[in-house]
This record gives sequence, structure tokens and C-alpha cells, in this order.
Amino acid sequence: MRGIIDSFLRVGRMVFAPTKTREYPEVKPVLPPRTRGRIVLTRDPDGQERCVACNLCAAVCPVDCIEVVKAETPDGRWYPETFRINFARCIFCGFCEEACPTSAIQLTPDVELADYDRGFLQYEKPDLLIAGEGKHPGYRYWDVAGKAIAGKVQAPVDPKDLCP
Amino acid sequence: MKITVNGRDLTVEPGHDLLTTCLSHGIEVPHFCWHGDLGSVGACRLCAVKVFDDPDDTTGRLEMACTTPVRDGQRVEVMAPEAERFRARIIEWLMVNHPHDCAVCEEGGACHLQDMVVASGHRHRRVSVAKRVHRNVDHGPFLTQEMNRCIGCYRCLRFYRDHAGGRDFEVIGAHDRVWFGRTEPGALDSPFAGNLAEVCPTGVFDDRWWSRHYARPWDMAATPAICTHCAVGCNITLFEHGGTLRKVQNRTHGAVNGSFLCDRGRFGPMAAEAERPLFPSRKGGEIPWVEAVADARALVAQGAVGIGSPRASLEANFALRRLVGEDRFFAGVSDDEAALVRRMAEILRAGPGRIASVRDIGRADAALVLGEDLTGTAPRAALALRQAARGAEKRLAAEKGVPEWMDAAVRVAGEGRRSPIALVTPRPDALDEVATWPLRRPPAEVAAFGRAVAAALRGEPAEPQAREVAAALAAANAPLLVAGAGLGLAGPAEAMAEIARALGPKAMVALFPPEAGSLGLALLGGAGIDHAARALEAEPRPVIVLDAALPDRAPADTVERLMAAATTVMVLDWLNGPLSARADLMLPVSAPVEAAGTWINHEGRAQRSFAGRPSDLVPAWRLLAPLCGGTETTLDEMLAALAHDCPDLAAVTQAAPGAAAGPVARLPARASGRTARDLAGRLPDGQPRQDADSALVWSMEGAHGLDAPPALRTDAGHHSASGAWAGTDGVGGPVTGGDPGVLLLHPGTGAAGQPLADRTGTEGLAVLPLHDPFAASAADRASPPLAERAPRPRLLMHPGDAAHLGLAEGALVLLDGVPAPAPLALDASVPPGHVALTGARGHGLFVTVEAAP
Amino acid sequence: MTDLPLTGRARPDRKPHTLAEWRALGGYAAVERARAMAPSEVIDWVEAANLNGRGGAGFPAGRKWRFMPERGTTPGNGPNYLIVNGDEMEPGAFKDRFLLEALPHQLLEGALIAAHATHCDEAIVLIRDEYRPGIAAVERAIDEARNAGLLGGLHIRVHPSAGRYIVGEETALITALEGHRAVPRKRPPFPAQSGLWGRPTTVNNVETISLVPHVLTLGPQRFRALSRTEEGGTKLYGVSGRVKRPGLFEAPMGTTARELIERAGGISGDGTLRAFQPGGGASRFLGPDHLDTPLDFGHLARAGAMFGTGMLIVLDGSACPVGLIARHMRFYARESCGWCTPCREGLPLAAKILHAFEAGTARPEDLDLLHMTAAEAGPRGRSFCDLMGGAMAPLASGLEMFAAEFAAHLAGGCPHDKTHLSGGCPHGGTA
Repeated sequence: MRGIIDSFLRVGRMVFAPTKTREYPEVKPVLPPRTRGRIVLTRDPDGQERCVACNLCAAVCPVDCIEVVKAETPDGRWYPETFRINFARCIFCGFCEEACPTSAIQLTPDVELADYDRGFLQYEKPDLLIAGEGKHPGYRYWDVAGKAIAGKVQAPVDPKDLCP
Repeated sequence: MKITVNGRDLTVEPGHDLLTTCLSHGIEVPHFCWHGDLGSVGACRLCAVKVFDDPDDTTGRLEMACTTPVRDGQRVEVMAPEAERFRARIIEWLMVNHPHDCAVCEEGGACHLQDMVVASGHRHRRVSVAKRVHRNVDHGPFLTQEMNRCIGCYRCLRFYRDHAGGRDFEVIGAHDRVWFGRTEPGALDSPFAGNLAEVCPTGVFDDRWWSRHYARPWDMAATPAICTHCAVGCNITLFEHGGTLRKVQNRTHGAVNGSFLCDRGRFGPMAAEAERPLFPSRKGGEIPWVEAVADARALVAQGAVGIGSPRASLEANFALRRLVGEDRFFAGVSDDEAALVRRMAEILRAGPGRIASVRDIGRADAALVLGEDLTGTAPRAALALRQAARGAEKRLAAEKGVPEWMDAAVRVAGEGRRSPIALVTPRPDALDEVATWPLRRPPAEVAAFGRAVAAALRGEPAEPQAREVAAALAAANAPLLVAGAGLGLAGPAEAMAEIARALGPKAMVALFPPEAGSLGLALLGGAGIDHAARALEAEPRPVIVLDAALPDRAPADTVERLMAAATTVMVLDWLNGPLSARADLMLPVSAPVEAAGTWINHEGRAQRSFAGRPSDLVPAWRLLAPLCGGTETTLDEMLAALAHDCPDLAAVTQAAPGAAAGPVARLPARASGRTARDLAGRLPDGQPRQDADSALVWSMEGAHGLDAPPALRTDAGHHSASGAWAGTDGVGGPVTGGDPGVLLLHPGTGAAGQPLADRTGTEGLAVLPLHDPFAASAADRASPPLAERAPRPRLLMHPGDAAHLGLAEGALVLLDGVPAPAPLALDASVPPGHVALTGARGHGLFVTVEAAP
Repeated sequence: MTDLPLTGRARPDRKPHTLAEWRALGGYAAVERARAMAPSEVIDWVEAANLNGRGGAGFPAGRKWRFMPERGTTPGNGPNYLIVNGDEMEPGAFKDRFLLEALPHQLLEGALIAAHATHCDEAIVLIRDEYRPGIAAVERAIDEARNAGLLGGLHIRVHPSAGRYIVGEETALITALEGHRAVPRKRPPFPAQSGLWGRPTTVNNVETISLVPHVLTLGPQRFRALSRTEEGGTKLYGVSGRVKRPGLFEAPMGTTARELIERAGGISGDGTLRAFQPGGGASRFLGPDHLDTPLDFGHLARAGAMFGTGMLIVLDGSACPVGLIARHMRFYARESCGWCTPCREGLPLAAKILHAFEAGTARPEDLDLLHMTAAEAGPRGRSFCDLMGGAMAPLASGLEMFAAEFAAHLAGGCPHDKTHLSGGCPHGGTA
């Protein structure tokens, strides 16, 4: 008997407790910047796309939901002619961001990705590419890679030079 | 002798270096500059291991395993701390200048350097100096070059110059500026240059076609296949992604190609990416399949004549023969060629000589090549003959105490000696530089020289040079005799047989038919195109041809007679050719790289090739079998039918395991992107593609690496081409589990037969075929990289003959009334009375030459 | 004959003698004597004389000659080759130059005797291309001797080197003579088994060959007696660096550094000896405690150093040892042939790091890298030839002996006054 009254009191007390309902979507949650939400492809400081189609994100993806096809500009710059992520499969683990050597692919705190049609969950490159540098400003992979591309200042050695 | 490695007692063969010995026993020792075919040079210093000479030696020494002879009682510790530390420093030094390129490097994922760096534990760069940067040079359509990535292992130089005999590739510079490559932009001369893509352990040199149509190594489906661009039958691996062929790589076969391919075989399969017929057509106009099949049935019902092709698989030719019946089955080549290839098989069966594999060619201690331009007709065999030339050098070096594996020291101690090799050809030959006797004889006299050698061997009088050559062959332990169909004459093969009879069982014989399917076609029987034309002229019937480019490989005028005499013409081919638009019915079939099939090489080795590129088209036998009421739906069933009808060829069923031996995976376990297009839990294309003709599956669910049977295996469990050693029984030995393929011809099992005589002619000039290592036919030129590399067709004549006909350099001429594909060039090396031309088989043995109007 | 036989007959103006002049001084008598002896007897004399090779390695000349087979006893076809190594490029070494320019006939005599002893029908004197006067002098001497019928059937010629420092390494020298890149070879096989063109070959230094006639003239005992130690003969020592009168000094083997520095006028700069390298650039630093160590192969080996060429480089208290080491590394880095990894990649790295030390921009990791390089690449057998080992000698010993200097450079750049020095390498840059 005592137990029943106890339960009633416990539960009944909640009637008068302040509600903690968050009135979504009028009030959005505040998500930390590290939240693993929507995936984007970022650009480097001069506005060129960072992705070099190395395929590491596709290789590390535990569910194989990333498809990348490499193409090359006439001056030797690798870029993805196809970059596809199937968000119906993506588990937002963030491995792709960890694997990316150019800081191109990043996860953002945008979690509002629901849709009525599965087809719209297949994002192509135009859906993924953003204008900015994302969470890693200032990094340009081509600065530290050896491969020459247009505009890159390099001073090749002359093997026939005896000195120095 | 006995040694202990990493605590394990091993019984090992004496005479090798420690690195080769460890690798042969499956013990990994990091290395770069060592290569199974290039020997040890000790440049990279990565193979450092701790060696204790005997049980009393407690201090031991750090030694480079590749240049340390293996000795009885040695104890080796690969993981000794001192050795690990030193190897880690070597890697660190290499990383001082190695660029941060993995993300944009083709080699990534199949890179020996990556593997060695990971194995060393190297993680952080503590060096702060800037990396040196190199210039790159355009190396032509086959290879990329990124010299920044070079780690100075010198393998490229040693392969190109020392192994393949190429000259236009150098190392220049000193210290960390050494630069490797062709100093002037342009394609490399050697027809083996493509091997640099595999020989280079990093991404300096890579396959350029693959780079332009790139997919990561772990994303490509790998299928074991056989090269179909000459009669050597090298084993290859086809790499596919997204439905297209991306790369061809060497697949080790201990007896045939070993570790290397020629460029024709490496880039020839890209012809599958050329523009191809995809729909049936009638006189060039597209028709639906239903109509085409109906037409075909109607045609067959009238009792057709079948023309097989040396370009087609054994199954295709057999299915056609079964459809039309043996007495209406002909070979799609000249009568002379059909008889010659049949005779070749007869000679090989009769013996007494042993049939030489390409590996045997490389180990011969004396050789006589009668007339065959090996570099043009069977390039991989030419590469092997270059190695045979070094035999005498190796023996002298051994006398001085220098073991064979100390490659650089052997080349010095051997004093430049060459094994006795006689090369008897009408014109200067690429192999002249390794020949002791580079002899020039007009085509008709090549056989005469061979017969003189045979006479000398029998103790009869002969010309002095023939006697010298005979003496060298008689004194050798493994004398090699080489001939082929390259001149279009039977004489050289007959003379070779005569020499073999005089030499006895120690002789090794190699006879090279023109194409990959030539020997298979010959073993199925069938006279040549002239017989077919006459048969049709006597009784007009429909004709079914397995080659749309028949006029390229059989005398064009005879083909015209055939076409005129036939009531209707049905063509099955995977490439369009001269007959496509004229055919009453043209059925497109799958390319050799798109279907499983059997190919019998020059040794009589039947090897199975598998589909490396998916296609909606089917192989020719699948179209032909139902037309005669055949019920075969799989390759295994077709092969069973073949074995039943042709008991001589029954062993071809053993060339590879059947479809029940699977599943064997084509895709590596880390293939990516499979669910990128998956909507609602189903792959958009439905189930993975089915392959009823093999045990291979188009997915990752099956056996991988060494778990696959040898004939179905594409990797040895290592990521890079440098790991191929792990897939053989001992370095340089057979593939683990046995070299795939089955030998069909056994010397001593056939009658000697009747020698063939070559026709002599009076009309016109004799044809001297010109062979090009990069393209044997129009089918090869369909491959975009080969088209870019292969020289244009040529037409050469001796200045005296040209003057006699009133023709000048550059003249446009008619050959048998048809415009020649090239202007005339005058060349004094052409024997008088001959005209040298590319695509000679389309003209027969003689041709009339006159000025074009 | 004086007790300075090697240089005693040189003209004061250092011009070479004509054949007539040389013969008047007793020239070619030694050759006659040798030719009257059996080759093996000549070798016995040279061995008994304890003549150690003067090219740097110190291998006994007689023992080296004994490896050479008699004509026709070895597999293959061709002659034996004698090569005289005049590719003197070690920093601090300039002794062979003197012997080539001033005493070519003496060299030729030694070559004729050596060829006789080693059954050689062909001899090549390889001289570095920069030694033009030496090349001319030896060529003229050979012509004179040939015209006078003194060559006795030996085909001997001068070959100006088209290569660099590494050509001084005997196997790289042989490879260069064959027309290839001057990359060393692995031994075994040794040149006496398979050398030039695969034929038995012996390579000797100019100074060694120049001493050979004196073994014949003096006899083994008197030749040995010229020295103060077990190792026979005199030595053409050199002193350079911070001394008042750098130069060449012939002295008995086993002479001390103190004596040589005195003969060179004493220490310049601040007048105090900091350290010296006994064998040119590729040797360890020794401190003042070794001023009285007899300078020969055995004594210095026991002291943990290498005698090498016996060409002293002297450091005073005011000179920057880090700068000297940096200059040495720059030289060796440039001269690396590019064959093996530790030298090809490690030497330029060390040179660049030392440049950073000089400039004051070095980091603590850089000091670790220098230690690593010296420890891992220094020991014998780690790299393909001994160029790296030689280069690591000043670095390894310098890191130890001058640890405080390195620390000071790390903290704030070079503490020494360098205003009087020129701006460094005119070509700029580091390696």
C-alpha cells in the first residue's frame, strides 16, 4: 500500500514540474562544431576544390557509401569528376573526414537531412561542394605535395649541374 | 645446406644470396633494389639483417642480405634491433626527399614503397629541409614520369638497359639529384618499356592509360587472362572498373612470361575500349537481334561453309566447325599458312627435339634463329633470347668465383662473352647486337642455310659458317632452334626440323605461328582460304566467317573470290573490319577480354583466359552452338563437347578448374562505393553480374590471394607488383601450386610426316613480311595507346628493283592493283627481287608492284 | 741518396727532369735491377720493406701485388692491368700533385717495376683532369722513356679523369675507365680476380708507386730503416689549415704532428692548437693530447683514428670547428655518386643541417639527426663504399669533441668571428 502511494506521489509530482520540451523546429538545438552531421566538400584558401579524388574516404567508409571518380586537369591537378554519397547509407561515423589528406571532406553540425524520397538522399558533387574552407582554414594540399600543377612555384634541380 | 632464419631451421639450396633464399622460403625481408630477374646489386641498403656465421659467433654483423652468399650454419635474425633500427633509418633517409604525393599518386594502394615504409614503422618527419624537386619528361603514350618520387633503386635502369637492351634511357646526375629517364621527350624505343610501370617500386613510372582512366588498385576487379596478341600466350591480369578495362599487369607464369610482358600485350587489350560493333547489321545497317538470329538460322539451314580465324578462341573455332561439319570447315588464312601451321604441329609432335618454353629459351646455351624476326612476331621470346646470350658471360664469371646473382660483377667478370647465337634473317634485326653470327640471307636462302647446318651436323660438307654454327650447337648442352611463320615460308621450319633430327633429343625447338589462335585452329583442321573459295565456286553456299578483317590476314584476291562465290556472308567479330559493311549478316560478339576462352600457345600449351571486362555481348560459341541444336550454356559444357569430338584436344579441359571450383573473388576485400547508388537496400543494377563460364565472381565474396587455384589467381597476397615473389615456389620458380595450362603436344608421339615445299613464283616480286613489335595487325591498332605508338605501315624496296620498275622514293604504288597503304621507301637492306611490307599476309607470297596512276 | 729519397731529387723550381737529367741522377737503375729479379722476388722485397699503400687505406703493397696471377693462369682472355691512382681529391691532400709535376720519371720507374712484379702488360696512370701540369709531365716522361726503349714492352698511358672524387676509390676508378658512371663495385670479387674489363688488376697510389724504386735501390732493410716505426719508408706529409707556412714535408714514417706543425711554422690564428685531422678531410679529429703520437697507420688505428693520406688539417682556437665540419660535409655531399641510400640522401641532409647550424637556425632535432647519421651510416658496411664512412669521421668525432660548440650554435648561432672570411662557397647554397 505504501508503495502504491509512493509511486502516485512520485509520478504526480511531475505534473507540476517545469517542462523541458524543446519546441523544435521553432527552436533549434545548439550543436557543438564537432557534431558529425552533413558531409561537405570544402575548398582551399584560393577557392579551388580541395578534393583530389584520392579515394581514401571511399576506402575507409565502413558502409561503402562514397563513390569517387578521378579526373585530371590539363596541368596535372587531380579532382573528382564524380563524388557521390548515399546518405541513406551513411552512418556519420566521420572516418572519411579523418582519412582525408587534404581536409576536403568534412562533417558539419547540420543534422536536418530527412527527405521523403530516397533518391534525394543521393548527393552528387554539386550538393556537397561548399564555397568555403570549412573547419580547417589555411590548408592547401598542393603546397605540400610534390606534383606540379599550374601556378605552383617550384625550382627543379638541374642534374647536369656539377655544382653545388 | 642448413641455415637458421628467425629461429626457424631451413634446408636451403647453395649458390644463392641470403635475400633470395629467405624470400624463396616465404620469409619477408624488406628490400627495394633486388629483383628476381635483375639480381642483387646492394644499392638501397634496406635488406640489412643480422648474420651470425656459426654457433660460436655471438656478436654477428649487419649484412645486406642481397649480397651475402648463403653459407652452411648461418644464423640470420631479420628482426634484430640493430637491423630494424638501420632499416628504419634507410626509410627515413628516403623520406627526406620523397614528396607528400600518395593522395595524387597512381601507385598508392599498390606501392612497394608504401609497404616498406609502413613495415619500418616510420610515422613522423623530423627533418625540416626542403625536398628536392625534379623536372619530368614526356615518355610517350605508355608511361607517366614523376621523378620527385624516385628513391634511387636503379631498377628501371637495370631493367631497361641491362635486361631489355634498350639504349635511350639513362641515369644522370649525382648525390640526391640522380635522374632517371629518357633525356629527350618522346616514347621509349624498346618494346618492353611498359614493364617499367611494374618494375618501379614507387610512382615514378606508371601505366599512362591507367592514369588517364584511373581507379584505385583496391577498387578494380582483377581477372586472370591470356594475352592474345601473339603466339607466346603470356599470362596477364586484367583490371576493370565501372565496366571498362583500366590496366593490364603481368601475371607470373614460371615457364612462359615470368615477370615481364611486351608493350603490345600490355596495351593491346585496350582495343576493347575502341569503337565496336554493338548491334547486328545487314550490309552495314543495324537490325534487331531477333531478326539477326532468324537470318542466321535460315543461313545455317542452307548448309554453310565455315571460315575459322586464328584470332578467335578454340571454342569459337570448334563451335563453327561443329556447326558446318569438318569437311566444310576452313581456316581463315592462306592455304600456305594453314598448311604451315599444321605442319608445325606435326614437327613438334614428331620430335626428337624438346619443345622449348620461353623460360627454356632464356636458358639455352646456343641458339640458331632461322628467319624469324622474334622481336616483331613473338616479342617476349626475343626478350628471353637476350638473356640466353649472357650464358657464356655467366659461365666465365662463375669460373672466376663470381656467382650468378651478383649481377653487376658478372657483367664485368664475364668479359662481355656471348653464348653462340646465330641469327639468320633477310634484313638487319633488333637481336643482331646479341648474336655471335648476325647473318643476312634472302628469305629463300634462310632454309638453305639451315639445311647446311644440318648437313654439317651429320658430318657432310657444308659452307664454313654453317659448320661453325653446327659445331656450336653440337657442343652445347641445351641448343635451341627457333623458326616460325614470320617469312610466310615453310622452308625455315623444315630446315629446323632437319637440324633437330641431326642434334637428337637434347635439341630444344621453338616454332612460332603467327597468332594466338593459330595453333588451336590448325589442330582443329581445315585447309586454307583458297580451298574454301574453290569449294564455294564449285558449289555456292552461305559462308560464316569469324573474322571481319579476313582480307588483312588472307590474300585479298582470294577473299574476293570467296565473297563472290558465297551466296550469303555472315560475319562474327568483336571489331569492325573490311567485311563488316559488306556482310549480309554481321553479328557482334564479345572481345577476348570479355569472355572465357582457351588459347593454345606456340608450345602447345592450352591456357584458359577469363572475362575481365563485363559485356552484354556473348562470345561467338554462344551464338553458334544453338544454331546447330547444341544445348551448351556454359563454357565447361562447351569444353566437354570439344573433348568429346576432338580426343586429341581433350586435355584442354585441364587448363583451368571449371566453374564449380569457385567462388574466386575478382574484387579485393576493400573495394569501395558499392552502396553509393543503393536505394532501398537493393543495388541499382540488381545482383552482381553472373559469370557462368568460370569460377570467378564479380564481387569480393570468394577466395583471395594464394587461396585461389593457380589458373585463377591474380595476386600473391601482397599489394604491389614487387610482391610477386610470394606467389612462386622459390624465386624464379613455378607458380605456387604449379604453372597453369596443359601441354597438348608431346614430342615423339607423332609421325615425321611429309615436308612442305615453298612455292616459287615468276610473277611479281616476292613478299618479305615486315613485323612491328607494337602492332601485329589492325586489331592491335584499334587499341588507342598502341595506335599512338605503332609506326605507320611501311613499304620498302631495293633501289635497283625500284629503278627497274621506274619508281622513285615516295612513289604511290598499286600492289596487285590495290593502292598500297604507304608510299614507297627505298632501302638497300631489302634483298633484290623482294618487296618488304607491313600486313603481308593480305597479299600472299608474291605481289605485282606498279606505279599508281 | 739522402734520407729523403722521395723528394730529394726534385728540382728547386719543381720542373720535371728530362730523361737525360734523370738518368744522370741515377734514374732507371732500380728498373734494371728489378728486371733482373723474378717478379716474386721483387714482391718479397716490397713486402719485407713494409711498404704500406699511401692512398689512404694503408694496405701493404707487396701483399696486394701477390694476388696478381701469372700470365695465362686465369680464366678469360686479356692482360693484367696496373693502374696508378692519381685522382687526388681528398680535401687537404696535395702530395700526389707534387710527385706528378716534379718527379714523373720516378713515378714511371715505380710503375715499370710494379708492372714487372704483377705480370702486367698494360698500365694506366689515371690523373685528375685538373692536374694539367702533372698530366703533361707524366706524358712527356712516358714518351721519353718509350723513345729510349726503356718501357720494356709495357703499354702505359695517362688517362685524365672525367669524374670526381669518387673516382679515387679504386673500384669506381676501374668502372670509370670502362666508360661507365663512376660507381664503386662490391668486393669480393677483388680487382685482382676481376678488375678492369674483368681482368686481374692492381691499383696503387702515386706516392706508393713513387717509393717503389727506392725499395729496389736501398734494399728492404735500409728502406725499412728510413722509418721510425715498423712501417717502412718515408712519407710525404702535408700540413694545411691554421699554420703559418702550409706545405709538404717528407719525413720518416712515424713523425709526430708536433714536429710537422713546427716545420710548418707553427699555429697561426690565435696560436693554440684546438684539434687536427691527421689524414685529410675524411679522418677523425685528434686533440693536443695526440701531438706526440707517431703518425703512421698502426699507431693511429690504435688511437681510434685513421692515418689516411697523412695530410694534416690543423684547427686553431679561433677557427669554428662546426664551420669546418660543415664545409667537409658539403664537399662529400656533392661528391656522393648517388648509388646507395645512406650517402645519397644522408650526406646532403647532414650538409644542409650543418648549414643551418652555421646560420643559427638549427633545431634540437637537427642535432639528433646529425648524431643519428654518424651512428647509423658511419660503421663499415652500412653504405656501399667508404665515402660515407670517411665523411662521418669528422662528423662523429666532431660531435663528440666539439659538443659545446654545437650546443652554442644551437643556442645562438656561430660564436666565432668570421668577418675576415670570404662569403663562403661562390656558388651559394648548401649541398
